[in-house]
Amino acid sequence: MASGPTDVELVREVLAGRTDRFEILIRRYQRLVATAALRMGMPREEIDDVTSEVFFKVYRSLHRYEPQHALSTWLYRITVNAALDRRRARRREARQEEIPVSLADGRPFPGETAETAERAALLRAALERIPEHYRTPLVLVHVEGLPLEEAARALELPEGTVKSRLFRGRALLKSIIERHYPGLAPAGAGGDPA
Amino acid sequence: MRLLPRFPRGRAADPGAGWADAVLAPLRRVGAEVDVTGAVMRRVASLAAAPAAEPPRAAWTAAFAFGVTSLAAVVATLAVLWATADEGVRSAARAAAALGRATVGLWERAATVVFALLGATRPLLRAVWEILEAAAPLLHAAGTAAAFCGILAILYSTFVFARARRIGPEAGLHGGTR
Repeated sequence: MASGPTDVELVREVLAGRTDRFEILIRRYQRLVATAALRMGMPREEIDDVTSEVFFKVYRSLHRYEPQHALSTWLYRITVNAALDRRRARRREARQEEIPVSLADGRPFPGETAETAERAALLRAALERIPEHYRTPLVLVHVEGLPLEEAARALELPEGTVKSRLFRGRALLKSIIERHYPGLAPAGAGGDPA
Repeated sequence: MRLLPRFPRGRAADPGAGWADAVLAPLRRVGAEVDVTGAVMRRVASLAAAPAAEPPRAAWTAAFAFGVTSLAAVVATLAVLWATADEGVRSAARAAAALGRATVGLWERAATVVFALLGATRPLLRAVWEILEAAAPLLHAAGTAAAFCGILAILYSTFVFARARRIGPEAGLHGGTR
């Protein structure tokens, strides 16, 4: 990791009035937040807004940050909440304007192959069919790679609850893939019950 | 209203962490490049430079002065009443003070009881919720079995009544049986 002020030092400096130091935190974590939001199903045209919103919320509630935990975990928590808020708002709008809420979007990002983009879009569509409280732990653990403990902290849930939601989320995802997206099933993966 | 979503049955048991890692791998390759530094810092700066909502000072000062004056007037009136009044007024004042103390004490006790109850039941509620979540497939299966038994019971009683009508005695026109 590049040398420089730690997250905790930066947070303390910002809280002490050096607001310009917040810029370093944004640069350090904006990719993480944007990518997490995208993987949680946010449409790409909203990623900039969501990321800005997350950092603005972080700035306004920086005094609530607990330095004993990783800043990234806290950022995940705020990103999850921001994504949920956006989704609810969009659902309300969709009900009013009768537009589909689907978030699947097959356009590739720069540096992304068309095939990867297509598979990712199908996966996002498959994940869309899973209830929110099963989908978010799946994304945090199996896509973002968070350990169970951190995912539980990011979701503000007991580890046991996250674990049982993961079991059920994986079962739902498997059944959805088998029924609607058989091409997404990993080749030769019969499942290795954990 | 269904509290717990439908749980897939049969072959769709948990396929395991390895399966999920493999199937979700394409999503891990998806990344988003954004640069929101300028936008966020502008918002932060506007927040810092924003004129703090200017309180309408004149109105606030006048209201405060008016409040203090009113309070002083009430206190003075009560003091005069207390000093010049007869025993009846003093008894009423003492009763009002006792009632106030009792009300405060009651509220304190009620708050203590409520907080104690909340503290004691929270882990219990959480445990019940976790059990419900874990038992969702069982509940689902039990519900399906109960519905199936209900249908069987209806069919059986339909059969019993139909048979009884066929072989049972018929009522005659004048109340007797034939």
